[in-house]
Amino acid sequence: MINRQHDIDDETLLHLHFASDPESVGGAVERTMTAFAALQLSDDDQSTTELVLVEAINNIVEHAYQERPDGPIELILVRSHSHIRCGLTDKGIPMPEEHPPTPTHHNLDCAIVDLPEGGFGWNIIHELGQNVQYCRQNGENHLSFDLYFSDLATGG
Amino acid sequence: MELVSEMRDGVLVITAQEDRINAAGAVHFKDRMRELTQDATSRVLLNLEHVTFVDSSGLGAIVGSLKQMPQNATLELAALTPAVDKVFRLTRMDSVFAIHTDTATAIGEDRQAG
Repeated sequence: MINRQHDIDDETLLHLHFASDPESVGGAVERTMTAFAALQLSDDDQSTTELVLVEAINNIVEHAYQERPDGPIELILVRSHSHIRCGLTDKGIPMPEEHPPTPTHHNLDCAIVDLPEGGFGWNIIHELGQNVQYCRQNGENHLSFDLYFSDLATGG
Repeated sequence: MELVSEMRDGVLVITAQEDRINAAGAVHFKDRMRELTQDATSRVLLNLEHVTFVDSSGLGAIVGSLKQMPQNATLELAALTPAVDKVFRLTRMDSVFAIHTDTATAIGEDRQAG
């Protein structure tokens, strides 16, 4: 569940509603990156943010909405002192058995023809995000995770 | 996804001309790679110097490009930008590909070896 309990210093950076079609998703990612640009993070932190958000949203588009273009997606970014909490909500199908998959590393010590071509997204979310939480509530999927940036704690 | 190919010192160099390889272009990327590499017989080098963003779908398409290479041909990578390099490291795909700093180095290594 998206944590809606805010500390007094918390600040909502962005709150977007968009559809699951590629153009709307692309626009939402662009607006998010514009919002992040104002935080003056390092290039590395910017690219981390973009990657983890794109993976989380792609997950919704591909799995929750099965590539349906008209599914509603809600994105909330809340800035705390040391991190940014990202919350995503959709009304698509739940994760299997209403539980997120356990992040697993692929065995890459195999023949080239057996290398995986997918299934990287969830691992990337876990590698880059912290405190990853998922729940199914009232027919909605709620995914949230924290992004910690060293520049955030020290900067304005 | 625009890909440009040229032979340089016996290496087929394919340069991606766009800045993103992502879910939107992954299938097209892999198809275009198949067209360009189907007659390859030795080294193929994918130059990613212009690519600033690869997501997991784009990564899957690059792995797919490796898997569809003809027998005796290899797919190597050159000039990964920091964000792209990060995706390869996070997924440990950097252990699967030969990755070169840049195209010139990759081709020079070939000359030394040959």
